[in-house]
Amino acid sequence: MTAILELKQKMKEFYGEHDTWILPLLKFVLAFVLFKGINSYMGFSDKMDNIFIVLILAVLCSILPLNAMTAIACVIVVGQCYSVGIEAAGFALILMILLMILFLRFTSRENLAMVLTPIAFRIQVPAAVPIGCGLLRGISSAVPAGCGIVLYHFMRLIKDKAALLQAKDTEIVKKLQILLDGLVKNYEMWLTVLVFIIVVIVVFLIRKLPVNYSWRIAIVAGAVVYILAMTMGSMVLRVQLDMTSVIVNTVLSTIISFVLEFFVLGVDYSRSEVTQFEDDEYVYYVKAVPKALITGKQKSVKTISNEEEEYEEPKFEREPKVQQEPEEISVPPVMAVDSAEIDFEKQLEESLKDL
Amino acid sequence: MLNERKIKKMRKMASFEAGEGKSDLAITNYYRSDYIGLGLIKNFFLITFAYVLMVGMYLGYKSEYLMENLHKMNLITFGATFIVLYVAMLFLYSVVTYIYCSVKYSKAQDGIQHYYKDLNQLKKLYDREEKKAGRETGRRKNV
Repeated sequence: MTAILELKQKMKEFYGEHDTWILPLLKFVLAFVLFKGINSYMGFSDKMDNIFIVLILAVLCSILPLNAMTAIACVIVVGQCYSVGIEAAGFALILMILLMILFLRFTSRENLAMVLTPIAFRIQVPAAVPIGCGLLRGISSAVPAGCGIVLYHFMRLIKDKAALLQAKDTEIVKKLQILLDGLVKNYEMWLTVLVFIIVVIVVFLIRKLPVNYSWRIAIVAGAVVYILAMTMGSMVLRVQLDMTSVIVNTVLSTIISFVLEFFVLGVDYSRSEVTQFEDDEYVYYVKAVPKALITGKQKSVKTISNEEEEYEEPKFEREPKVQQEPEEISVPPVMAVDSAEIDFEKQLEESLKDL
Repeated sequence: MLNERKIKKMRKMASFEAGEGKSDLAITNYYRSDYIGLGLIKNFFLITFAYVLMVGMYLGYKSEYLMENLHKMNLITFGATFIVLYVAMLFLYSVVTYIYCSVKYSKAQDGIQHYYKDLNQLKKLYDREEKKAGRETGRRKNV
């Protein structure tokens, strides 16, 4: 445990020293993973999947705000859909516009959740997003997370129905019906959206409780609620879900959430103190929980030599003051004159005579 | 001579102006009623646009059915349904926008209060410095 705490401390110090380039680098990596993930998942357009385009877009995202990453991800999805057909691209564009107008414009500071949701689905840890949102952000982050679910299921729909959508004999109206039915009648998607909202609310409310280990209780409660809600929802809505994978994925998400809790909060409840004091107007009941910190080991270097050396008192040499060099003045150099040889009285008399 | 206190305060204010204070300063340039009003006007246009897109998609989706049954349908009821839905959606989003803008404005005001406090302290520092400089050079402030 001490080693992990030391590692955390070192990471914090490292981040504190180099945050100017670490943050853009993390944004670059996230953007690269997201864009590459979208391209490899859909894989209809080779132009979009060009590594140079992905790299350039990721570099752009590293210097732009996070919302730009969301917008560029949407553009890539539309571009991929364009390779399937103009109808699919048009539908994707309308869907993105509707999501932005109806939901995302109210949660501009939480839109990272929308980007993270498809990634979490791809790496099989979807429950990590609502638990993480409940821990680190507020209830409003459920909105972009829900939009992320819609985006992920839309990409899956395009991938599944690509053959039908690309067929030339399929009418435009038929294609529109396939796309709209695929989204509106996708009960698995709606169930996941509903479960995400419930989990975010549960985790957020428990995390805010003034009890010991509230974050850990919130994580476990969120995971349990996720599994229960998915199970019950799938029975009510008659959605076929592989419950084993749901449970395994939720356990993995719980582990990720615990790691998150350790790095973000990391408090030591065993050393918590409760104090009470008052002023003229209020009585204060304060509970102070110290953070689990560890001071870095101070390394002392001891030089051992075989030869006996006489102890010498350390000499503290005063560093020479850096004097400002006088500006060069264009006067003729004056010869060094010994002042003892000059008779000043005589010279003064002579000069008075001249006067 | 460099005034360390002044520099620290100016750095703090500059980072606020460049960071989260940027939007707060832009918001508090408006009166509360003007800011909310502007938000509601924007909301009106955005919701109208979104509704047109949604209706367009719905009509496209149901186009086959409409072509076959349009002559049997009561077009007034059909049109009225769209209008009622539009008004309901506009009303719902107007309420949401009103709450959102109110909360955003009050949060921006809270954030900006510290900024103005720092600004006042900075002004006092400047005044003090000016007074001191005047005393040293023997200048007097014109009244």
